[in-house]
Amino acid sequence: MSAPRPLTAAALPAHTADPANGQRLFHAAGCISCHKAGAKDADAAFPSGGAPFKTPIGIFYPPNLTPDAETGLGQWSDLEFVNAVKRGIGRGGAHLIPAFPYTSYAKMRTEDVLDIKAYLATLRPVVSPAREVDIPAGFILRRGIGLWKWMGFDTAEWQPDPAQSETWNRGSYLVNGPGHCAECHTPRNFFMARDASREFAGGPHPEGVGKVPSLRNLEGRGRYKDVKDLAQALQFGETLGYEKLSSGGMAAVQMNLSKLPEEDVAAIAEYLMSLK
Amino acid sequence: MALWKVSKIAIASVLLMGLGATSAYASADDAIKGRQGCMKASGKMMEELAAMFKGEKPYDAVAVKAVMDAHDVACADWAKWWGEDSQKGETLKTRAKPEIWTDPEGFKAAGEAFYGKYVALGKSTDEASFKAAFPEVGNGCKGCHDKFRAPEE
Repeated sequence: MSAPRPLTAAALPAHTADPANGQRLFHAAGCISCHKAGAKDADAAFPSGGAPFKTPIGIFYPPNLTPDAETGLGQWSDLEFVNAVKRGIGRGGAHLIPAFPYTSYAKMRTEDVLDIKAYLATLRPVVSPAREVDIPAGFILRRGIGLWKWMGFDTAEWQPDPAQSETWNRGSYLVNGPGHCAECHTPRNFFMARDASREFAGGPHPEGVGKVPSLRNLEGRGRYKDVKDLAQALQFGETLGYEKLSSGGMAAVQMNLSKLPEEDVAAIAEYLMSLK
Repeated sequence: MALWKVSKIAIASVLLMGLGATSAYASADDAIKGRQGCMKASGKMMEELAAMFKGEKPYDAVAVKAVMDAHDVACADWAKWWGEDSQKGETLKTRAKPEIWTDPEGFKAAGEAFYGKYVALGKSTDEASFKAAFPEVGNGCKGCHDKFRAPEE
């Protein structure tokens, strides 16, 4: 019941990887924000990992995503990478703790995940060994994750809403899949699982102080004037005076969004402004 | 020119911040009120200037100077409102993070980075130089808000 259930090779589609699309999704998924280098003199734009990521249960050190053979993804197969990103199962077969937001990435198309892997493979390999997570009772916790997943990890891929426009659907995919916005903007229950009945309703901030704002009814509550206003906010943030996107981790999010093509940001804004 | 007189005082105050300057306020609430007043004026200034930058309002050098002067008046005592005893208000809430007092060098650096960009904006004389300088000011605001301001309540 708590054992990992990985995808098998049969689940991998025939696909010619597209590293350019992979780079676009790397920004949408915000990989650099956690997988950035921990060393002070390292290149901040390089996902060689090791920067401490504080959570309520302890400190994580996200691993090296560069293609280094020993310490990075150099020897990872496509299937291993897809299982990590979409099922939260590590290369050794153990559950990954959902500080890595695979509960959102599970919704992504496998082709898109393979494109991200192809993009990462174009980066310069950096030697940066993994650091163990700093959490209590590591082994027991990992098997317990299996129970947590069995209770409520929905592995279904995102599906478009045929009643909505192509741009709305693009926004919905980006927000619910790679964007993983719900991981912070949806409140969690006692088991630290997302409360599906309150999607994007906001809640206590993981930092322990203040709130993550609700994304519902943004126009009605006067947070943003219209889709264009929110799109500008996401694209430019406080550079254009949108100061609500600077604190509580949003500065990093906005920086990643600023690297997306305008059409993606507009789609995200269209989707978010439609939330009631 | 009023803009430059106030700016020089504020720059000097920013530089003195790390030296434990004596409090210029009666209570933590007063310090917080002062800081928030300055931030509100900054918000009004950024709204006005962003509208000109985006072309929603025509560029107007006189209006630019007016909002920057109003900001300077509201923020003249900025550096004095950060004593150790102002971390928590008696009745007022503040989004100032403890890091401001545990990392005073970082806080000072963020303030100076903003100030440099702000001064550069004050030197702009026409629409082209205004548009070149303006985006950097918001980046300066973000530099502090990212590290030293807590999420909204």
